[in-house]
Amino acid sequence: MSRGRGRLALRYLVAVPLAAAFLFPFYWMLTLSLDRPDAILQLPPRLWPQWQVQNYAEVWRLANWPGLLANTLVTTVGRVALVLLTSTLAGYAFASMRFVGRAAAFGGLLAVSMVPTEVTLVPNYITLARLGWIDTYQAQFVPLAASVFGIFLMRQCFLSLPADLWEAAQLDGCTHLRYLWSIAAPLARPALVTIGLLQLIEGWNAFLWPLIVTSTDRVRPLQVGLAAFSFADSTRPELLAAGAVLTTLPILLVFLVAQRQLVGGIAATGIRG
Amino acid sequence: MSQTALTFLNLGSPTGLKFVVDHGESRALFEIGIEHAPGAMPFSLGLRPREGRELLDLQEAGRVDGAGPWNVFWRITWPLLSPTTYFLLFVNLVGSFKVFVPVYVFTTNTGGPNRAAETIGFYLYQQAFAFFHAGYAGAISVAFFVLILVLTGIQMRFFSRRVFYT
Repeated sequence: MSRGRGRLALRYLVAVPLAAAFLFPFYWMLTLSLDRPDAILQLPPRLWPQWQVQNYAEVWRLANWPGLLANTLVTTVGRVALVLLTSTLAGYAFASMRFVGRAAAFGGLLAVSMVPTEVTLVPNYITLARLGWIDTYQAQFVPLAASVFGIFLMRQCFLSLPADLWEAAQLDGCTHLRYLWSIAAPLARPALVTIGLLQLIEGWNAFLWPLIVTSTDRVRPLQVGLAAFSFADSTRPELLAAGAVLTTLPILLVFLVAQRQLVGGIAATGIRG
Repeated sequence: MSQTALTFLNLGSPTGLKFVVDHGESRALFEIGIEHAPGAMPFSLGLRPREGRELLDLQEAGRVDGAGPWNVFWRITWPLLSPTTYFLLFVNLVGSFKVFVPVYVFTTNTGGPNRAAETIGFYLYQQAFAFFHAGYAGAISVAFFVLILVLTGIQMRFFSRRVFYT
């Protein structure tokens, strides 16, 4: 009994400092965002703010947050929708359809996914520039419409469906598309939710690509807008922190609501998008 | 602290390989590393539960056979986790070369004091999109890709022998 209790204590001894280390930046961000500018620079730093809620009102006036938020929403929703569509179609084709070069195509897909996106940054930018897509919404999500991870996950999911299902549907006159839409995709809902959530978070936090392909606040997402704001007002840490809270809050809420699916999805696949 | 490796490689610096001695410079990259590490960690921890049940059974079997905690860990737990450890090592090593956002944000797009916090990812970005040297940036991309390929090869050769798959 005492041995079990000692072990539990040991676990907490490891887990609590770790959790604190991860939570502290969030706490610190919140504290800074509510603090007075003169209190922030004090040494030693205070862990409790000298309440000043008007930081938020001020930061709200300094940038077009609703516009930036709308831009993030448009590009993120577009990205999630396109990735779900391509993952389902391609995953199904790789799992259930026979065509020449299927194994080679799938192998090629996995090989391509090993190439870091940074490597293709310049050629992709030039392609978009030639298309005249620089500083548009579509530039921020159409090039990201296919996710190898998504295709892989959907393929694994469709492979696990019993073959009888397709045969029965076929006898009832189902085409591939009809079967996919009415039977296979609904059964693959947990995988779709996982892919959608990971894409949502990635789309929300996307930085490098939007930074490169946008040049004005008209289409720029929240994260890039925040960075631009931080460069312009880097002397005001409390405003920066307030801006950071504003950009983090929505995705934090999504995470809290969908935590179980997210962790389950990562644990089941062993891969993060 | 995979970032420290980048200090020594420091491929972007005109002097080629150099050791960063100046306190401000070395600290810049260290701070980037501090920022980057927690981001990689939840991923590392998140991978563990997947192997949990099988692992618990084998640990129990080991204990029944009389193995102490030391032996259970080093002869059962550690080898069984080795595929995950190996995978994480690889993913995080490659990831550390690509680090961009903290460098960009912390150094306000300068690369830090005397460019000490530059990573390959950041250097690539600067060359391509700040100085508009598209061809040079393309060459960096290719070199970067080859570097990762070589690293992967080395890792597979030297570490895969120490990895046990069940």
